[in-house]
Amino acid sequence: MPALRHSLGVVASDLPLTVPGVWHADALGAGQLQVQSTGYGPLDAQLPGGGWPVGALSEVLQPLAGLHEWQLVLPALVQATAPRSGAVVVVAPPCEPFGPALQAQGLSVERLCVVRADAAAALWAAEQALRCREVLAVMAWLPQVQPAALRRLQLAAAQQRQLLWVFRPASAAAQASPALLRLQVQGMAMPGGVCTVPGMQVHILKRRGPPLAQGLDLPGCHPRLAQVLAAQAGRRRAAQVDAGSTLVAGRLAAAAKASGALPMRPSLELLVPLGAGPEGRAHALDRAAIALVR
Amino acid sequence: MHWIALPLPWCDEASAPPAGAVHTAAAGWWALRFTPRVALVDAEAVLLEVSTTERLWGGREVLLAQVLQAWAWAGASARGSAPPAAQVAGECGPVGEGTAAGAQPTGVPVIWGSGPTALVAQARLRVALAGQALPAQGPLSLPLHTLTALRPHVASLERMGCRTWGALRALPRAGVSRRFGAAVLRVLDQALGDAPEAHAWLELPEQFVLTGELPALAESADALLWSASRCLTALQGWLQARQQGVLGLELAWRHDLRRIDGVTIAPTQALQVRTAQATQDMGHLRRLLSENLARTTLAAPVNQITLRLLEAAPLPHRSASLLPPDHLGGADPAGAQGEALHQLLERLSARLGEDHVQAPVLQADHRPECMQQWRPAAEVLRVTAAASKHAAARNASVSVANTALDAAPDALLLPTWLLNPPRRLAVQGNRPCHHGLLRLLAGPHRFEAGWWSAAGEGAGPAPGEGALALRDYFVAHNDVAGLVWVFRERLAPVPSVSDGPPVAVRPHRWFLHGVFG
Repeated sequence: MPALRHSLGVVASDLPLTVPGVWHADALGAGQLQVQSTGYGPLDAQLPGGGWPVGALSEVLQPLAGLHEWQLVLPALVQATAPRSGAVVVVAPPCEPFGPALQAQGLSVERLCVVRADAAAALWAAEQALRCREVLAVMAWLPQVQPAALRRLQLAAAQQRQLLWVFRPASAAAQASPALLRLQVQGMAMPGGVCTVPGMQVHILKRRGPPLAQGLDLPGCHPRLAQVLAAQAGRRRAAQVDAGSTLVAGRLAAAAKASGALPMRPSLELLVPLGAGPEGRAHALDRAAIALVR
Repeated sequence: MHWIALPLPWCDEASAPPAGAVHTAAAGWWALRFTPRVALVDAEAVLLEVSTTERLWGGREVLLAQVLQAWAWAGASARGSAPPAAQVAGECGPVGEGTAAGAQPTGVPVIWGSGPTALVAQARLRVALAGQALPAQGPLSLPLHTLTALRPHVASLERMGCRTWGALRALPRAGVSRRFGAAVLRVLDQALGDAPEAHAWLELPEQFVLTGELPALAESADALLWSASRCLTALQGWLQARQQGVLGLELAWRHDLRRIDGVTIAPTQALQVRTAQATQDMGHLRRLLSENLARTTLAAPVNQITLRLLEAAPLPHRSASLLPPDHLGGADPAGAQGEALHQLLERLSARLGEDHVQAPVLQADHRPECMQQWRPAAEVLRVTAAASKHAAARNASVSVANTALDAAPDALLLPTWLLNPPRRLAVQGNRPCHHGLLRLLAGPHRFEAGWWSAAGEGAGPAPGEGALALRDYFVAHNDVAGLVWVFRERLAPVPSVSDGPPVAVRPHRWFLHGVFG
């Protein structure tokens, strides 16, 4: 194995380094690719050129539609739409994009245009949007698209140099695809007892470069939300510790026994005041929680 | 004075009685872009007086080449996508390869005539159309039959050995005037430039309404499009001469039958097409019409269509740049390839329906489902385009409005997907389920809003818009569903119950309202 690597190194050093369209198999192929940074350092480092390819198809595979799209794509969209004018066309999304949240994260809502369509019409609409010069990016949810149709989209995106994401179910991973970049995204399982901030794991299925064995861990939600979740988790742990030592623990345990056979952690009990609980306690908890969320 | 005479692009179809006149008038509209002095003579030729404008177009030869090309286009688009000019010449007579048959840029010969007076130009056109060689000497050697006013007298003049304009002019004027009438001499003088000419100049109507008889009964809406595109060509000429762009257009058609199976049919039916920006792009209008017509079914066969311009706006010509166009700045949007956004939105709306192509409009409200409204995207674009015009004058108000919307303190904690209406979740024990049991991570975040819009009844089948919203929102999670935004509906407090917990009767209902995707 070391011998093989050595010979490869020898061969590689013989090659001229700047042949357009040719890259070493053990390096990322950058070439003249125009890219848009993803906004995530670890992901940028693993993508050829350091970002989403502009004017090419990026395919994102997910176990369940609607889980991590905006989280993955939004930083790049915000960066791409900030300097230039142009629309972002969302074709056949799984549910409504929520404008206030997108606006708060930096994507101007006036740029957004949503096309609701069935499968065939969605493909047509995506292709038409790619032919428009005032469209900066297209996000399309095409669960049952044929590779030939993807190829058409890829060519259309290359004409006007737009960002194009196609979201498909994870079951499509085995199919061939003309996409320049294929990613698989899934949420990371949170270990039951310890409450961490949920993340997402990105596997690069296809790129111009060597295959990537292990996935990349990226944050699964906005940092502000992560902060709130972490703060609430910390508060809950503190309450747990308190509960062990004070009289409240006894009251809570009694209440839990009384409420039924359902095994419920005291933390959850604290968090979700039952309707039947004493008024004073529920009120105090609500106030604390609201302050926290703010 | 320099005149150019061209045959009417579709002079062979001017036979339809009432609509023919309209069509013939429209046949000359394309020429108005070159010069304001355009006349139609004898329903067979278009005459252009170009001496005043030829310098603007870069000289006589350049202007002539452009006129011929425009004529070929007008003829081609008038008959669908037929190749230009070859058929026209074939129908009007054998094609003469004489001096007047110039080679048009596409290689198809176009017949034209030119001369210092209108009658000379027309005469040369007639000679060329007849396939004869033009006489080498000036207009004096043109044959007599090329002047319309002399045609009744050609036979008698020929018996006198008088065949050309020059020969007629050489005859004593008093005798000619006595025998053939003063009109003959007047026309001859006009033709030779000795007397002033008077023309009925072609003028554009104030309102564009064009009615066309269909060549055959149209059974399907698609068949209408073929005829409509001919009207669109005429419309283009009208718009170019008036320097206007289309904002609204109506295509009406008249049904051939009054009743089918005893059901009375309206005599006419109409279809309106509107665009966000004034346009002269007939390709875009044609696509819009075809998308709309594809969804229309005709009640009965159609024998006549009318194209009416509903609304137009001045469309000033772009000033040509002094510098060559560069591809770096993209400062020239109309020069770039690809269509504009409003064209895309109109076309998508035309095929998919207005309510399927939408854009969000943010509202100041506390209820998540009321924070944004979905409006047809074409309409929103129209509004924002108008707003941006005003903003150019004073951009303070827009920025104020934006900051007001940005000011929501916890907007960063809202989910990026919204389920509207909220989806009811199953409950196990006291915990909501969505792809398995959900764990509540943060909350509750209490909402109590909407009391101003409706009086109570928050306990419908699903909490609808406009109702009083009493909810506690939680951020919940499980491994399959990811981070979701759920709420537990609180029931409105019942004032009459005095003792005991009032809401213990019914279990709480949980709803899924958003996904942090």
